[in-house]
Amino acid sequence: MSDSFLEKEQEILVECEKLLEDAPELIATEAYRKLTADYARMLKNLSRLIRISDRNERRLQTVSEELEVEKKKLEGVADQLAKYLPRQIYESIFSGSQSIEIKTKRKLLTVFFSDIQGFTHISSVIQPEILTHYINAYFSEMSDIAAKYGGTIDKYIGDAMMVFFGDPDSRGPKEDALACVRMAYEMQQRLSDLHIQWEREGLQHPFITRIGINTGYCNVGNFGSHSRMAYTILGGEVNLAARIESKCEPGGVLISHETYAQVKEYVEVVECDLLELKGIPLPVKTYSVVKVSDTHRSHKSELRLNLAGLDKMVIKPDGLSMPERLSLVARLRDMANTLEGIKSHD
Amino acid sequence: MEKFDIVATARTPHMSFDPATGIFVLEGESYPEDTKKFYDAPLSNVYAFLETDVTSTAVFSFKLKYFNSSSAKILMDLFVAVEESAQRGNSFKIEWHYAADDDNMQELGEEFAEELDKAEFAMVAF
Repeated sequence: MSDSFLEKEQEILVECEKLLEDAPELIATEAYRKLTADYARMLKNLSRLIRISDRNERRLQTVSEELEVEKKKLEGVADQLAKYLPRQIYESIFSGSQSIEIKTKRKLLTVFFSDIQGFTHISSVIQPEILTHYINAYFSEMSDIAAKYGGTIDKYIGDAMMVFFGDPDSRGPKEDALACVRMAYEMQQRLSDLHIQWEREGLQHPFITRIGINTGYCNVGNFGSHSRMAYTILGGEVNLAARIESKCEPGGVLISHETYAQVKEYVEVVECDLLELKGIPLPVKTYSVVKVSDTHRSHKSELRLNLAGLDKMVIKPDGLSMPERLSLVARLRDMANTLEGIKSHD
Repeated sequence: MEKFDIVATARTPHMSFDPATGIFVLEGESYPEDTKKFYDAPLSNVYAFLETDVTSTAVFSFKLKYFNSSSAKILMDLFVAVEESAQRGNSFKIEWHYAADDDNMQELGEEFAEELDKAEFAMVAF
């Protein structure tokens, strides 16, 4: 607000000062009355402005409080909605980097599928409430591992899970593929532990999963209608990942040649026979994952232990399939736990 | 003394005036970036009109949802000028429109009405 905004008030002041300066003894009653009236008006206006300002401040405060309540409500709703969307997609939408329109792009992705062997049978013999408990626990555990490796959880389809790497964020094809295979390996490791825990709790039918992974160019983006859409991936490479998963040995991780080419420096595999897959014109070369290493080195040497209280133990990791290896690890861990629980006779 | 019609924006009200009819309208929200700059030029036409001899009753209509303190100062100055013009014998009717549930705007209208003696001031709830 410039000074001239109060031009009239300034004029009154100048008039007063001039009158006092020039001839104070000549201040006439009429002039004094006018100044008094002007001053009274200014005082009233000042008082009114203060009230308006206070009212506006109160209103602003009220609006601000209402906005805060609305904001909290929206944040709560957004948090709930976030659970229905892949975390990365939710974050990119809320940050404004992801547009909400029917639009797709082609990207090199590594796609993961898993499902539980014999789930239809399991669901027919377990009470629905118990099944709900364990399937939710299973998905929670697997999703935590997927989040740890930065996978975008596309969807849960019954007992199946679909995850992809390389969108919306990518660390490069190699890193994406390796993260996916590491995630799959850890999932199987974790499930081996969970089998023992759940068996103790009374679950008679363990969840044994098959995992299939493929790397290739897919269409990724929003599919659906303008009123209802899903951020997902489509394409032959996605179907191939699903088909590979269906051929995986229960408890294992089966990867395509394209995925293997990206991760071979870190992964020990058993090369499988060419697979004839439904809907795929040519036979497909696949590899069963035996072990994922942190470094380039492979660990194929025997593990020997010769300690007091241990008769003899030689572990020959070379040649063990991944399920056999994971099962062995889980059993050894169980034995160690049992040993820890035995009281000392000292 | 020219006719004008300024469209509203998010921060400024719709403001129009026609010297031929004596109808002045101010409607919307008023918190301009520079209040003086926004109001000075158009209101100079209204002030010029207030100096003339108005032949029929001039209607000044206000329908504001929100205005800031500097806009309030503009309004108070305008009401004083209207009252002075009315004291010279011109006929004015000021309509203060306010939402029926907006106590704040109602109270403000009542306060402005206190300033006016010769000019008619009507409170109109909508």
